[in-house]
Amino acid sequence: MTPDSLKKRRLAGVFLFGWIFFNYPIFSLFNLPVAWNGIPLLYGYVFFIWALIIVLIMLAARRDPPPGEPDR
Amino acid sequence: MLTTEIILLIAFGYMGVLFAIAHFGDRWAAQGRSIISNPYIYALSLAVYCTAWTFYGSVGRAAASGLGFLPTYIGPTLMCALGWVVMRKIIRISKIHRITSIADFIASRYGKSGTLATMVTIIAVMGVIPYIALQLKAISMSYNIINQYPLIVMPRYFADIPVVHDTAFYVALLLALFAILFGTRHLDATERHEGLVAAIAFESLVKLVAFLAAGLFVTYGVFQGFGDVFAKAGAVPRLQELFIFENRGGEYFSWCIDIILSMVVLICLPRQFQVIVVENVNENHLQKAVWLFPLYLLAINLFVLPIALGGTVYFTSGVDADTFVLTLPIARRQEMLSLLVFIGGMSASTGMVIVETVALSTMICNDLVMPVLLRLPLVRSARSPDLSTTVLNIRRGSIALVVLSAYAYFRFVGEAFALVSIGLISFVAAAQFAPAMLGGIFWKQGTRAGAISGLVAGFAVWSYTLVLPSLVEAGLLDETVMTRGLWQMAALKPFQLFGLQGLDPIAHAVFWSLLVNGACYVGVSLFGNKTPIELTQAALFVEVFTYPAKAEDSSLWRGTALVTDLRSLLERFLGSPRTEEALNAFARNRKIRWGPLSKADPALVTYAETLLAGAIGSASARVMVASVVKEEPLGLDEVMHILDETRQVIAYSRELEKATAELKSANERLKELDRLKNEFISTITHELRTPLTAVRSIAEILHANPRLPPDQHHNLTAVIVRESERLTRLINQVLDFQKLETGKMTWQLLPVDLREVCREAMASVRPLMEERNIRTKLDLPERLPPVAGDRDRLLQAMLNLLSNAVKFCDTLGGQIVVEVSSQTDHLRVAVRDNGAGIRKEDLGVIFEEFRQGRHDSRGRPPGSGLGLAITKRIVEAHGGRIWAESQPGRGSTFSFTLPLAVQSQQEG
Repeated sequence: MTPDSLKKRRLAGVFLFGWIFFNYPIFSLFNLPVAWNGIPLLYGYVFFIWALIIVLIMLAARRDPPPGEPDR
Repeated sequence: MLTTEIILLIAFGYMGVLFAIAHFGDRWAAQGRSIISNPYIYALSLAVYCTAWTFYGSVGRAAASGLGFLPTYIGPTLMCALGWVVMRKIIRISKIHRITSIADFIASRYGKSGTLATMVTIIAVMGVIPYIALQLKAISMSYNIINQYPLIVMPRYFADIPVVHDTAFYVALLLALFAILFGTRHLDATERHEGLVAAIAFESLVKLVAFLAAGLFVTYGVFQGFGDVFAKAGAVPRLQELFIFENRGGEYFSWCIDIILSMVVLICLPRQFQVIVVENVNENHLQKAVWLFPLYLLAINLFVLPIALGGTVYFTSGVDADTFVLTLPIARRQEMLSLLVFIGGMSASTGMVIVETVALSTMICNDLVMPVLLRLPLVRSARSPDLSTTVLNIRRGSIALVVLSAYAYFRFVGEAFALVSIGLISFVAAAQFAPAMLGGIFWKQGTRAGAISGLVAGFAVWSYTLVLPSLVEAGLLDETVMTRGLWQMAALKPFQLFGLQGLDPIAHAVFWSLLVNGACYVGVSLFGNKTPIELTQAALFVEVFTYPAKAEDSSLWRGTALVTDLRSLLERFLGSPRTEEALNAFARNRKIRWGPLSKADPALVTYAETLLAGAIGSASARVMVASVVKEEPLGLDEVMHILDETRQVIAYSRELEKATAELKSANERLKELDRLKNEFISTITHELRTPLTAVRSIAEILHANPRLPPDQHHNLTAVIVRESERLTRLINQVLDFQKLETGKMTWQLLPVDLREVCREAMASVRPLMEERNIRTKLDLPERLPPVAGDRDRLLQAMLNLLSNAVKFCDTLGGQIVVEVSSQTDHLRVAVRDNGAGIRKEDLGVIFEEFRQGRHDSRGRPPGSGLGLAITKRIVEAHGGRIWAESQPGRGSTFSFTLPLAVQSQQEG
């Protein structure tokens, strides 16, 4: 597998992760009227997953493209 | 004290700063010092996604529906995860084909269709003008609020303010001027605007800082942190409901649809296409931008909920939630912060207006005006003058037109709506491009007819489910359409089409419009036929990474044209110097020199068409090039043939590279073998010569002295016999090895008692050992099951190992031990000596042919270097395994295993 296709697979994985954790039914598990450190659970959950996805994208996109595809 | 004068001074001063940044950005770019060529500025420019709708409207939406504002920002985050695949492909395609707008992209993909380009432009203009109006409304609203400082008065009716007294009007004029100055400076084939992008990036920074400042102030200045805001909001029953979703399926589904919507609009909004694709300097900037941009979105949304909830708690009533960002600082008498927020809101609005109008003007000019213009005989004729100024003026006119119509819309129609609903309606319009766009880059079967029918159907549903209701709401249409449906048919109620209930109007519209759009696109594509040019473009788009990086290298054109005709055509649109420059570059690259009557080759025609496409769009460029080229229609077979050819050339060159690498390594291996063979030959000849020399010299002695005493005669002839035996052995070895190598050796598999083989081998070598004073020990078990094997070959293997051991044994106190042991399913034979041992690095190679271990003191050991190789092949042919262990200086052990004979073989 080339580094570029590995990168694409990782990023696709991040997308799937985000899609699943931002949608029903996982989403409904956190849809409870309770607070965590004063912050409503659902709000905290959404922002936490969001930040996590950004970090994952950063890690997945970091690798350089293969030399076969030059800058244009 | 904030007076009107100060506010105006600051507002227009801020605009001045933008002009200055854009001016210097352009100047530096002209000097070759690009300030926007880095991923950070690129990511900031993408943040033009956050408009006044984000800045003011998100708070309003959060106050009404809690988390409902977030899908608009989560969607782009998820799209960014796919950015490296989707956006990079769009960027690559656009750079190769010099595509400068989303209308051009879609048109070019479906066979450079002028119809599609026009349709996309019309939908974009209709969808986006209200959105621009919204930005102007936000500027006007925020100005009217801050102008009342320190009072908080909600401006209700803008129609009461005369146009000449409306700040938004002057801001609109300034924005049009800005877009004209920095967006239409010259007609460039790449259409990048460095100064403009620099200013947009600066605006993104300003709005982020302003919003964060307001958020921090509200959270920690007005309240005591996040916990406090949520605790106070939790005490209000109406707000408490916002903390969770209602437990109905509809809300989750709306949320999911909203995410899909904002995912696709990230690449389908004309302004996003402009900053992501057209203004992209280097596609590798995506690598950082795909996480920096989502990070920006996260940051700017962090304080939306605290401001929304805090504002609702603080004001209780009478203040529009859309204005909380501004009214909360005003209520707390924060002059500087209020001003900062006002400027931040302005930067959010102005950035969007600038980029959107530039993007729209390109589309209006290239895809609405040019097609008409190019049909006029005067323009068509080659004698007409330079058209580049005309094109630029059309763009300038379009910019003014777009900004003024947006202002008119805001003044006369836009009063009735909240910020968010206009923004979302516009989003849904842009989302109609998604099937044709995404299908276009991943699905080769998509056709022009499919794209057109999808767009028409999607646009119709959009108009019916979103625009019609807004017209009703504005009082322009009778309300019965909403309550009873068109023609009194309940199934046609705009908000409950075909009886679908439980979705909010936006999700409802997105669902139906994209469903109908996508179904038409796919269905019509699958049942329709493609013209050659559609096929060509489909292949060039979908497989962009397998075709050459330059459009002219995969030219699909057959026909005749004169170079001079092409040149004058280019000059009319690009101007003389630019044409000269471009053509010279082409001629230089391909080492061509044109005479006055030279015919243009297909590559040049494609090159010219691509250059023109950058200036006037692909559809118009095709029409213009066709006017000077006598085109021979291409058949379908020919197109497929040319396509295959170009692809094959690339595939071929890749295979060639691979084959070359393989050849190289094979060559290395051959060279090594060659070296070994030479070494082998020199060893063998040396070994052959020694006995031969001995035999010859003795024969000479005998020949010269016929009367030697009989005992001496006997001795000498004995030497001859021994030496010729040695010769025969050596030659047999080489022949054996040759047979083994080529597989010609015949094997007779019979039950063999290994003990006998060992004894016999030992007996043969014994004289040699006694000569060297080597003590031997034969350690054989009482009973030993037989193995299936060829007795002679096994004897040979054993002999090889023993003579090998003898060779390496010390002459004083040498000792060789042969051990045979029986394991469950195999026998193991070990030959141990106490000689010099084998170096670790030689252990792996001593069984290879022609290899010999090095001796530290004695240099090359005697022997052909074939003994062990032969032994190894014999053992392996018997299904066994051979290996060596050694401790240098203390001797080595050669062991091999042989599988036991099964019963049938024993009997046979």
